[in-house]
Amino acid sequence: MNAGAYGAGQPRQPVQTMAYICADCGNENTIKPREPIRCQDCGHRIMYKKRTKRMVQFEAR
Amino acid sequence: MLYDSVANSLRRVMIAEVPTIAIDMVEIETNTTVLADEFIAHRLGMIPIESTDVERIKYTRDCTCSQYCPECSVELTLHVKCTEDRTRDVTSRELVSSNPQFQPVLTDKNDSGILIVKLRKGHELSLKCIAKKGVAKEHAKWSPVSGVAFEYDPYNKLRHTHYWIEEDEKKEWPLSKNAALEAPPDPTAPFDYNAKPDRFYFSSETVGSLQPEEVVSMAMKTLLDKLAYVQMQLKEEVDTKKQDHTGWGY
Amino acid sequence: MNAPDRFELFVIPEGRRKVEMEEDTKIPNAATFKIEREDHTLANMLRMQLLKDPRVLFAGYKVPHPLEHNFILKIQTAPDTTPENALGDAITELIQEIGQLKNKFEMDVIRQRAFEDAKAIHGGGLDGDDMSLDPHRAGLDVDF
Repeated sequence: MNAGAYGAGQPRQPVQTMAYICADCGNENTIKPREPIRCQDCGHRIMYKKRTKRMVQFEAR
Repeated sequence: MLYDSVANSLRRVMIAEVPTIAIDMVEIETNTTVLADEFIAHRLGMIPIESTDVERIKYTRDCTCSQYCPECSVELTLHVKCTEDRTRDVTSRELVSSNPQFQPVLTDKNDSGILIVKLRKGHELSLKCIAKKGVAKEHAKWSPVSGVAFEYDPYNKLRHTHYWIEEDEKKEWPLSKNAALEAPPDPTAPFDYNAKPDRFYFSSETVGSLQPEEVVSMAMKTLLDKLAYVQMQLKEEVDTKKQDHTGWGY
Repeated sequence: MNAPDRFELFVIPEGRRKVEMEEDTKIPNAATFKIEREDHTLANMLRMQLLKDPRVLFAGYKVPHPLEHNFILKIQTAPDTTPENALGDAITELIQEIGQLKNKFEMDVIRQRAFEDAKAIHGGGLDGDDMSLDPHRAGLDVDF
């Protein structure tokens, strides 16, 4: 497999709040580390990660 | 006289060693379509790109640039967003090329192009493709032909073929249309066991990036370049061998 | 994963020679050539051309391993020449014949184009579109 998506790797910043999308209501939630995964609006426990803002590169093969 | 071995080499070169341009890298900025990034990238790679002027583009590995540049690549961009309530087709027509000599292949004005993805309302696709010169030995997407075949001796005068039959050979094995271009054999003539094939009938279908006659010409050129290069390297090898033998190296 | 890069099929690694010759120690006028980054396309063509030469006593090739992109060509000749000369002559002969064929082909393409253009002007271009289905349009005929 050569489907390597190689965006420019940057060192991770410490303590980042990440925005996730609720799988049920579509609301945007920010979750901090060690926090329970639960939608603030509807209480749903499944979240989707947002697409990276970085450009991603693929080999067209 | 040329042998069938040369005809076969020509066929092999037409398939795998005639250079064309094809998308090789895809940089995806936004993709909110139903298809995954790598799926779209793969589809884009398969789109034939008008390659009549390939000779003007260098191979990236032979280029002096660090990654890619206009000398060794063509940039194609695509940006589509569906804002209407009905399904929006994204086709190869929407790829915008940085170099007008290298466009996605369209047969005529009414050609709708090759479908890449369908968008629903709100879906968006925005990307940049880097098309490069290559040969099908590296990846089949660079092959200019979808099929090449050749045959010789349509009457089987040379008896290179032994037909499997139930009752009647003539009925079960109709002549190929190339037989019309040769004189039918004299049924009373004795078998000429010294005869060699000397006419080869090629038929080929291209993918659109090059015209069939261009493919043949370029294949022969590739074959000649190959031979000339080996000839040159052979001379060099023989010369160095000779020097070693005579021991003139002080 | 660990699949070899496809360009290994035609890019000669740094420091590797395209053609290597090894003279046979036991048989006179015999040598083995190793051609790097080439396949049956070239090998079979050269072998057949060599066998046409009456001075060549033996010519054969093999691709020793499918993952190593080279072939070896063994040639034995009569005493009045050498394997390297026979190989050189075979290549020259092929270059000449394919070169001639290429010229003839290109001339015939030009001729055919001119013919079709003339027909399109005089015939009103009605039958110009369906060339591929016309059984009477014999393909370009180039003599080998």
